[in-house]
Amino acid sequence: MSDSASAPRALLARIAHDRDRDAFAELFRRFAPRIKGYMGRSGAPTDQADELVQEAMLRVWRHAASFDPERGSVEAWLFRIVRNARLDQIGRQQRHAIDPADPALLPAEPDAPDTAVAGRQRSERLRLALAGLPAEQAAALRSIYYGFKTMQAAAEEQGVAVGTLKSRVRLGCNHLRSALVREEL
Amino acid sequence: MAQHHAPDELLLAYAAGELSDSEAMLVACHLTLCPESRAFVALAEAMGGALLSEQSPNSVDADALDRVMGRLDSMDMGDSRSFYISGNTVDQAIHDPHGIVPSPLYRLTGPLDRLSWFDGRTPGVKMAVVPSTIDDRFTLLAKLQPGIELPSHSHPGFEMTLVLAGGYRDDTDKTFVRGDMDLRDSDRSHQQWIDNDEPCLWLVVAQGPPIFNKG
Repeated sequence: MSDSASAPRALLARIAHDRDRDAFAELFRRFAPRIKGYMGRSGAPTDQADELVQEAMLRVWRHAASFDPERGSVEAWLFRIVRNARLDQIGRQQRHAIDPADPALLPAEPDAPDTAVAGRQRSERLRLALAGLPAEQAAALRSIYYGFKTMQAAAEEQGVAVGTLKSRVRLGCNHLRSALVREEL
Repeated sequence: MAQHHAPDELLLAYAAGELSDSEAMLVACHLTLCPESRAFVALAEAMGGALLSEQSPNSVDADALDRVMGRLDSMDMGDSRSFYISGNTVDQAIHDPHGIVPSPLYRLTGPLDRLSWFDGRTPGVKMAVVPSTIDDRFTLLAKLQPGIELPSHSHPGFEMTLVLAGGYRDDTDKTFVRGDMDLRDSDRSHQQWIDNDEPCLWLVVAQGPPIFNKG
């Protein structure tokens, strides 16, 4: 991915540092339709999806400075924003998140493999690995994200037993893990 | 260090925002105690990002961009109103000063000795209901004294246990310590022994109370 001025990272940086509205409009045009597509596949009614798109993009404007390229891609950051906005929208009292300053937090080993590679490279590898998954594993993984439904319902939709769905999910995850680890060596 | 991690599908569902309230709370406590599961959740969020960017675009309201642009100024003036009322704001910075109770739980309970503990069916077991989770799950804390043998029992539907202190061994000879998750999604009977020197503290989310077998 290029680092041209129109790359999502560059757009976010312009929003964070310069409150650049053109950059925001560009980011909106690029991602708003995809956020809406995601919501649509998750079964949200159109008016709810529209509302969520707007809410998520407002949060992008407000929190642009919190994006940390070391932690991952713009898309992963945006995914968290969309997810959290969705949880607020459906009336969750609170989002149960870890607190990085929690004295109970057990820190990661400094050389843990999952933190060894910078976020952006990881997300490229992940995209490739995801594209290379056997279709039924990819479908099983997607069914969890596009859910707002139980494993049971997802399994029925794919015409398999819950146990089969779970093992496809786990196989898919193992593929993704090993693809990332192998390339990191 | 936790040996029994949450299974992939549970962590994916957490990352995707698909778990019920009490399940999400328990998983967030596990993540606090398990760097390996945290790393996997980061991977799952990256996967969510990849799914987001592979979407075929869905046309948004023609005036959606204008409406959002129109609100950016007031946003910068400190207006943080949402399009919808978001839930109670939670003070994220509530910690157990002793570093025992993970914050996602501590935010709900405060110091555990202020909860109302009641005697369990088995001598040496005390339990307390975790307040303020908003689903219909059966969410509680259990404190078990060393040496206890928990008689054979089952649960209606699934049960998730997270060990917060101490440890135990089950009838398949697996041992569980702080940070470990023990999941059962059938109603298979099981037994546990608190074979550790210190009291064991569990956070349990289940679909109903335990059913003790006769005899």
